Amino acid sequence: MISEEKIVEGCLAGKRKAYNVLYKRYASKMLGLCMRYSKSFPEAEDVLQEGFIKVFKNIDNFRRQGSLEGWIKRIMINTAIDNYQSSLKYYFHSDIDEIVETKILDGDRIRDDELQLEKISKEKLMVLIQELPDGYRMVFNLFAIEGFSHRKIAGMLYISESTSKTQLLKARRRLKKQLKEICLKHENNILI
Amino acid sequence: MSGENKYIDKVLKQKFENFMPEPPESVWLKIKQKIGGQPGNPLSGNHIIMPVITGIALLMALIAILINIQSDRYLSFTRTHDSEPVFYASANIDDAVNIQYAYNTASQNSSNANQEKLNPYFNSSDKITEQESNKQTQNIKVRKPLVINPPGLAANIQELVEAPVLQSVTEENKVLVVTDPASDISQLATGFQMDKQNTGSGIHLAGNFNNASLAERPSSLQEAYNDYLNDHKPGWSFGLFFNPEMIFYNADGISQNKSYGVDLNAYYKFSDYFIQTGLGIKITNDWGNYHIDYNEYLGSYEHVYEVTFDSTNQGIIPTYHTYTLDVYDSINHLKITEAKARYTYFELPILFGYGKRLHKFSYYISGGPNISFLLDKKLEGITYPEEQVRIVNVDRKVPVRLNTNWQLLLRIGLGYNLNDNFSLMIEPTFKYYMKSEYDFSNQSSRPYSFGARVGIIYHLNK
Repeated sequence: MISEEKIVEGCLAGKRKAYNVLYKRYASKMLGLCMRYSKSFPEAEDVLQEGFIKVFKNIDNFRRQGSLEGWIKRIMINTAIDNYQSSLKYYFHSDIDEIVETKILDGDRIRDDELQLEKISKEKLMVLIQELPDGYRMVFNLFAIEGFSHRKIAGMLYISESTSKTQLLKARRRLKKQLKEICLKHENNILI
Repeated sequence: MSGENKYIDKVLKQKFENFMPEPPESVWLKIKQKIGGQPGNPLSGNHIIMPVITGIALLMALIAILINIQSDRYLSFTRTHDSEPVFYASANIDDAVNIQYAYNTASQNSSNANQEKLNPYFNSSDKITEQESNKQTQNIKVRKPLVINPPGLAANIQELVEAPVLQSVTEENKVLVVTDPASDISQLATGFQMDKQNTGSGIHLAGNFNNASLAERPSSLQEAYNDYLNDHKPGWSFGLFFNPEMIFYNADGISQNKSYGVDLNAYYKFSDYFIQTGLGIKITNDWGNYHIDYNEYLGSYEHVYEVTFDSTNQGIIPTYHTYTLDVYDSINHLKITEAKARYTYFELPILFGYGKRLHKFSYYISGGPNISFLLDKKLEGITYPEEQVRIVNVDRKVPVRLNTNWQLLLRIGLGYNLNDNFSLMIEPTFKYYMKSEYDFSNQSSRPYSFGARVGIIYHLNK
């Protein structure tokens, strides 16, 4: 197996084979990431494509202080954020705190044991994530999956921290509600 | 609640950690096409734009310098009144017109009348001498003062005195002959049979004009000289402009946008150069939309939240405490309505420029940074779908703008001088945004704009 260092050196030397190796090594994993940030598979493909173009064009900026995978992942996340903004024709969610709305009646709390997430397939979970409203999806991914703080997310998405928190809260509520429905169907022997 | 969140986060994270779908082959093919085998140094459009802009700026600066050098060699100032003679003096004595050459040229022109073609020093002869179409020697008419600096004057006095171009001069068409400071002006005066003030038949003599005593300068030319000094005296001007612009965005999803502004500028002029600053207000609009998720209203009922019992003679009577509870459909509906946002910017330009005043017209070029501060934004209110709905979520999707941005500005100004104090100006303007006005992380594609400012300038100290 070719080492990360050799792949990077090959890319820096302009060797096509090195690009190919790099792409093949990380493309699948990054596509999984891109799908979480996108509404659909074709959109995820676009993000993946754009992200890898950035990777190849900026490979000379890779400082080798961290892993290559981490660096590529960060580029993909940034590309996904760019895509999120551009897919809305660079319109994106305003500060939701500014908007007066009525209370969301989301029912009772949902307990963990009601969810039984282990029984739900990755593909189904991915669909649920993709079906989240754009803002919810971005914040949920960045906070819950990537582990960024609300402050960091606020900076990345140009929203306030409180908006980030609100989006996360709403994303979780929505996910839980849908997961509960799925679990109920499952209990009733409806194939998930 | 926190524990529940951790659970859902943890499980989802684990689930997605090893989620690795195979990308289609087409993705790799597209990537290969795009990278073109040369990662690290792609020649994208943005890499080209900046050098082009820099090149244009340098070229304009070079042209300005060349114009200035050319002007300094032959033309030092220009009168603005058509009725007055236009006076030109050499700023550099070494570059001054050679009297012998002038004499020879004048002699040739007496039979040729095409001075421009024969004498490179008279290439701009319309500014130095002007002849009527009549080719006869005696009819050469010198309408404007001829300024010459004759090294080795003494040897050529006779020839100069007999030069047809000078013999044709009348009082009406004054000529100033400026001699080398080292020359003996009295010899020339004797040759021309002049009076004590070195004037006669429209010919005026002076040593080096700038150094000559005031008494030696003809009054009309002195006035012209004063005007020249006045034009070059440091001073302030103020301008009021209307500034429409069209902004182009390469890949920002917004193709173009319009803006309108009013600028109040101050200029500090020194020699032919000036520094410009001022205050500007720019207004621009953005359009987006509201995405409103809502539930429809179905009806209401009285919800019993408490029952109390009172003992009476007739027994125990329950009292039901209620409040009205609205019932909404659980199906989410989406309504999209247009949203308009108006943005007001405060603009602060700091420009450096070079300009010239030519008779009724003037021109200048200038360039420098222009900084914009977002002062105010106004958003239209939401139009809700129906009277009674439950709003689940509202996303307002309008461009989010940065509070500050700055541009490199290049401007060409063309002016019509109404009088000494007022000039009407039209100023084609190009701006290259060093940072997009919009708030997105991808700042690689920078907007640019074209505008045509129109306004009026008031010159102080005139």
